[in-house]
Amino acid sequence: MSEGKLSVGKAFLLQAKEDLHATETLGHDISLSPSTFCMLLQMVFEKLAKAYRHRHTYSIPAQLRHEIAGAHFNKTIDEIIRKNPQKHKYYKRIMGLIRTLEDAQPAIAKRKSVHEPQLEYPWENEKHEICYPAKDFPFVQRLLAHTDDIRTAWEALKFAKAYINELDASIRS
Amino acid sequence: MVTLSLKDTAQAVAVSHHKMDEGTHTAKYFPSNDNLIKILEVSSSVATSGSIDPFLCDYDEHHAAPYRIEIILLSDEEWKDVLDKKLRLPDDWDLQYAEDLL
Repeated sequence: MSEGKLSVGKAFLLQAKEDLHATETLGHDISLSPSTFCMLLQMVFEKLAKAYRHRHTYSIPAQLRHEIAGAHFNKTIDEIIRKNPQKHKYYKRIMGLIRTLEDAQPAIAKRKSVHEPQLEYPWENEKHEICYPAKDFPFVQRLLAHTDDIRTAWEALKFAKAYINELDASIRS
Repeated sequence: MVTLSLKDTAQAVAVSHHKMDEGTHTAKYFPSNDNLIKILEVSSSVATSGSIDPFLCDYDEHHAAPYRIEIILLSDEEWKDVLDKKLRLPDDWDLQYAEDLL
């Protein structure tokens, strides 16, 4: 480990905290901008996954482009589930949401189909209608109508906060 | 169409959340003077973030009741800290007047 040098993992963690703060602020009243809340929540988990993956890295890897957080985060969540089997349904619910949001990251959504709903930018659906996240992203529409989904989103936020604290304690800067 | 009362709406929300998450073992309704429904939920499933962060949402499921709902979601550890007075609920959330929903 390089003494006095910031690790890539710690830098991602610090930025994840910043993103989390913005997500929480917006999430206090989800009806204000549910699509932006979802986008920010996706960003938090993406950075968490990268913080975990690069916690022992001290220079930016050449291949550090957008990485699919799911693959690495899945492994992390699996490890946590093994330690807490009674929370399996809860983690399954959160992971479902995380995957939904990650799949909606524009670079990932486009790999599936140009007609795929995404967070952040407009897209053209299969009927050649122009759609945009605030109006047409399915989970955003659910957030406006179902307290169960709002509750799941908030559970994910609490999990992110708890995991940031846990990682913070384990990543040396 | 029947409009549910504030408390009945709170009950409906708590029951729905308990159905979704069996770990939700405690739900309390905090009566207020305006059209805001305040619910505190405790679940053995959720992570401990160490802070109390209420969130607001609109409740208009099936257009039954146009209310705003404020929810505080706590883990078991956070609930214990509240009861032990190590964590404080917001000023207008007084447990003395809270009513059980589950």
